[in-house]
Amino acid sequence: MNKENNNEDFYLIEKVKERNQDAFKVLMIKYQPRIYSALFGYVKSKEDAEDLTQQVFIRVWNKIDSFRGDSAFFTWVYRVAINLAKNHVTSASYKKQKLNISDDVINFDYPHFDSPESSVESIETSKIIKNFISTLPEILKTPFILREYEGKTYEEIAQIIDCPIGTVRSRIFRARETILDFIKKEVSNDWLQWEDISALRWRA
Amino acid sequence: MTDYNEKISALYDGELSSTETDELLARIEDEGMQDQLKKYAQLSALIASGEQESKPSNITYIKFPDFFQYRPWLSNGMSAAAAVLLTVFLINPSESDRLGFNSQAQSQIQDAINSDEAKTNIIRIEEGLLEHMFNVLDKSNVENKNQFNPNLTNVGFQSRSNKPGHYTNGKENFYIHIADKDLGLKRARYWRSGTNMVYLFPLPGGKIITLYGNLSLEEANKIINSIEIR
Repeated sequence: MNKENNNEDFYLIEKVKERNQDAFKVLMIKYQPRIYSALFGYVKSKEDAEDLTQQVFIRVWNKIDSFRGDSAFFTWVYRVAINLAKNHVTSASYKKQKLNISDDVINFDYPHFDSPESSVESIETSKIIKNFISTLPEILKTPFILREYEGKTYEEIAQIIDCPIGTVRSRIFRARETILDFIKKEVSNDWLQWEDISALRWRA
Repeated sequence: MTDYNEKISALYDGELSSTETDELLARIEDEGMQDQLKKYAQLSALIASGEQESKPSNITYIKFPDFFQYRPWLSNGMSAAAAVLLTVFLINPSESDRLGFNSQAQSQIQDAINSDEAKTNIIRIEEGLLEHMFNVLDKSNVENKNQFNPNLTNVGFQSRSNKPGHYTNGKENFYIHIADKDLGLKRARYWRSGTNMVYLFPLPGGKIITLYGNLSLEEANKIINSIEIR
């Protein structure tokens, strides 16, 4: 396992510091929905939240060397997001700035996720999914909850439920697939769909 | 294929070896892989979103009630600390009774959602508490010789001589802070902050004790009960 400083993204971050765009893409995919959701909660505008999310990851790419691993990577990204959101609501020049960020072009397509607010559409839908999670067989539910809700590592989960790490990995994967299958069949496949804003080029 | 997909799941969790990670990164343009990662990310976002839904265990996670909507004027210190504060969580009623906590906060937040007036009041209190908490978190990394340093050996914690206000029992570490602030806190409140917890305990006369660290509720309760405030 590639963890140092208790950071689950340590290896990917090190790769990003070496300007590895593939590693950055993984991190961007992983954290974008949560960052978007937080920003949407702040600015209450889909367009602004998208713009800000894009800016967050541009800034993350540019400033990754300043991430020392003192906190979780998501915490750091979230901090960037909040600072940008704060500037957004206080700066009149925001709309000008967002079109002219800096010079180097990174050829990342900017993946767009439907926000939980817009696509799940209701707390009820969210509840249905969470209720389904609660009905998962214990062997799947426990490792999944320990991972997703408690942020435990596979090693920690293996110790807690007293089984090999490989089994934990397999059960978490199966839990995810079971939940996603349920969402696809019983809730809304739309929730899982995304679209690329392919015209966007990242300027970082 | 299942093994490949399982590896993607482990990649998402940061649980692959560097060699395995490199192997998958080389295939990042695979749309199936990206799609799988995005679905996992959506699922995580749903789980993080809370919104008064029940977590399928005995802890109820709730989203802070439109926290940022009400405070676009976060101070610098607060905005930094806000990054570590995503979720308020409350113990369910039976457990909270046993530990001397109650579900007041949960009902308050429900009130805040249902009533504009209550919302204003609750948000004002929450803002004050959070601002205080963020300040404490900021101070926790700064040596402060005037820091409150009670003797906690009776509950198994030793003060760390080089860091005033910091205690350890070898396994659990925390920072303690006391302040004269009447923030309207009537009952103990606590938050998750990354892997740590923040506990706020009200004292008579408006003082507030804050504990910040990887402390369990039980330990926090014991510590507070052992402290004599004059």
